[in-house]
Amino acid sequence: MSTESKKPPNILLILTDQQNHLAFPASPKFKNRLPGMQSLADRGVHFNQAYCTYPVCGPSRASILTGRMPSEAGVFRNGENVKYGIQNIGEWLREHSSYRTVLSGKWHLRQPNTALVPGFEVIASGINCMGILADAAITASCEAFLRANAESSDRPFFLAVMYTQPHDICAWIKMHREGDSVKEIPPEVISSFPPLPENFNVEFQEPESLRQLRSSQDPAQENWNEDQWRYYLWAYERQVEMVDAEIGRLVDTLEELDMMEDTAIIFASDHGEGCGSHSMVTKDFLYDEASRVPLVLSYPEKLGQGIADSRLVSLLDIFPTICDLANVPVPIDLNGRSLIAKDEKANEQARDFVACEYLSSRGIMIRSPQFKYIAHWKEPIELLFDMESDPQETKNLAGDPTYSGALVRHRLFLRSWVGNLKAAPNLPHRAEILNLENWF
Amino acid sequence: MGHKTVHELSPSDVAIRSPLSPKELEKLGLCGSSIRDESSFDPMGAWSRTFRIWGTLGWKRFQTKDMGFLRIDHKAPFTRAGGELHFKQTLAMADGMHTTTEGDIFHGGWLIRQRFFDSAQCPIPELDLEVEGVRREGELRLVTNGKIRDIRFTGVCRTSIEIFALAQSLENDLNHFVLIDDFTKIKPDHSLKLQSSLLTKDASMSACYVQKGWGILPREFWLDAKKKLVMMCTGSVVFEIDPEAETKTFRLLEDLVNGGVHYEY
Repeated sequence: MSTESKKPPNILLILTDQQNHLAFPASPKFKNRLPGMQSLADRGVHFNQAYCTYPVCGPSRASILTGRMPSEAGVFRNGENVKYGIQNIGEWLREHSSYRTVLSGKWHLRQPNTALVPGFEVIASGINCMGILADAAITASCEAFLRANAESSDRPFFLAVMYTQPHDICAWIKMHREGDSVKEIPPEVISSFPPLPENFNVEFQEPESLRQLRSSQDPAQENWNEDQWRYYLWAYERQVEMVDAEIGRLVDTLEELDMMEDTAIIFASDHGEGCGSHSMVTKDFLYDEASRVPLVLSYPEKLGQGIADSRLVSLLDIFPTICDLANVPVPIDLNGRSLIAKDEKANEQARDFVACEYLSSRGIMIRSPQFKYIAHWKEPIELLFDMESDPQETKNLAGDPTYSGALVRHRLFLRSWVGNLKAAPNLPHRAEILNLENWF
Repeated sequence: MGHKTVHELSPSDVAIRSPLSPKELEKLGLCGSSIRDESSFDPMGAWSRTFRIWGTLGWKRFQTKDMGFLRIDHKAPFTRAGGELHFKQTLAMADGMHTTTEGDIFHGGWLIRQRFFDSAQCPIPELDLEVEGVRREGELRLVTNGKIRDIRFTGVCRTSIEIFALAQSLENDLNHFVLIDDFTKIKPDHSLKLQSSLLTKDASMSACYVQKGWGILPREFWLDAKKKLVMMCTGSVVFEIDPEAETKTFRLLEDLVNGGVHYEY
């Protein structure tokens, strides 16, 4: 893929919240059921091995919007600002270009929703955790903005469309925590609910932090039977459909206004959702259901269409990609790469790995093309999965001598990652995390 | 009136069991007395109703918040020629920004206008939307800010607002319609059916119709003994009959503005 230099395109960044990477048209379960996202994938490149940098809203958004790891931007939990003078993409574009930078919806750095966001005009602030109601207002504000600016030729815009759905599943889970709401549902309806995932049960010993997380999640496992779990999956699918309808309305608008050819669209989710894999709900852990995300880049004028790209990519790559599209310089200290190559050779050079942090439990994930390695600082249990033969992460190979070479290699990847981290001064347990002697 | 602030909650105030019935919410102190107003009512005649829109985050330390209102003025059965339904909905957003949608729905379509307002309560003209819908069976023409889009589908279409009125006058279930959500989004495979089993949740209600289909969580329309719609519940959101909802929303916006921030655009 390559770009020629020309008038920079309008850029749309569409973010959903808490969308499992399998809740996407490429997955057989959702084929022909999500027309909005399907139209984006048909027009662009679907990166099907994309990972967030932190499986929680605020820290992940810090990465997307600054191009830094959360540990570098100083954001380790929800409710924190980006620190240390690091600019977000809106501020960066304003400083280096004539782009008009506009935002609608969720922010979450610090407040979940606000009318005041540095680097952006906010056209609709949204409502915290109420995507069921507010996402429609986000779409309407963006549609109106697109219609008003369709024929503005002198100044391109960067429009961040920040949805809340399907994050509303968090409220659904709380409201159904007693586990008996499925009893109200007729049996013939229950029979149509989605099945449990094949990796629902965990067959290996997990690190203590994961066991503690599961026991603290709503619902406590003893409250939910199989039907109730399936009811949750059914509700989640409806919420994915909701946000798909919003995306469809935006795409229809762009088509109607004849803007698809000169508008680049980046679609992603900030992190995933448990969906019952490993008996997990929501996020806060490093298995694929929470750390892997859908990611599409659509720019028909310059990129291929309907392509599935299996290279390892990270949401860190969004910031340099936007810089590339906008023809502005990229900050020199970013770890991400533009998803659009100027140098074909460099782009095809495979990454050794991508990383994802969950520093609340001091965990780091290293994902190489074949394996995934998860280690928690000061915990004796490491996790190593062969993602080619075991994509559902059901068999821990860390104790298998056959894979000792892979284990050592990934320990070295992690140590090199930690060693090169430009960690923020406010990183909790900073000295201990950065001390390589505390890792395998 | 009717709903608790965070400070009045005790650990036992967990919202919820789905579906959210009027009785359930009354027990939790979360809805007002208007749902028990049994004044006479003719669903086919002229009537006006205002709903308070509120939501819950479902946390154990239960938290509710008002989010706006929906007012419906039914002039005559809009499913027939000459009938009309006028509505206005305001949604309050963070820091006092808000959006208002107002318009008319009739048998042949609708005409609506949506506006956005900043934290200073000033309109943002750049974001004005006007949507005209002209419908026939299997066809819909949308004209948005002057631009035309024609859409084809199978069967009839209904907008989400008109379901509030339709639920009161149904003689049979409504099967197989296309929902035009927010007057622009096409959502197929919808039905609106009486679910009698839900009445065990609130025996004072005469009916609960449940709308299901692609792209929504179930929407439960609760009718009182006079077949008046008193509440609609979907997911974590409730539309609850409340004659003072419009006033409450404007007060809410003032509170958000006074505690909020202004911005330039």
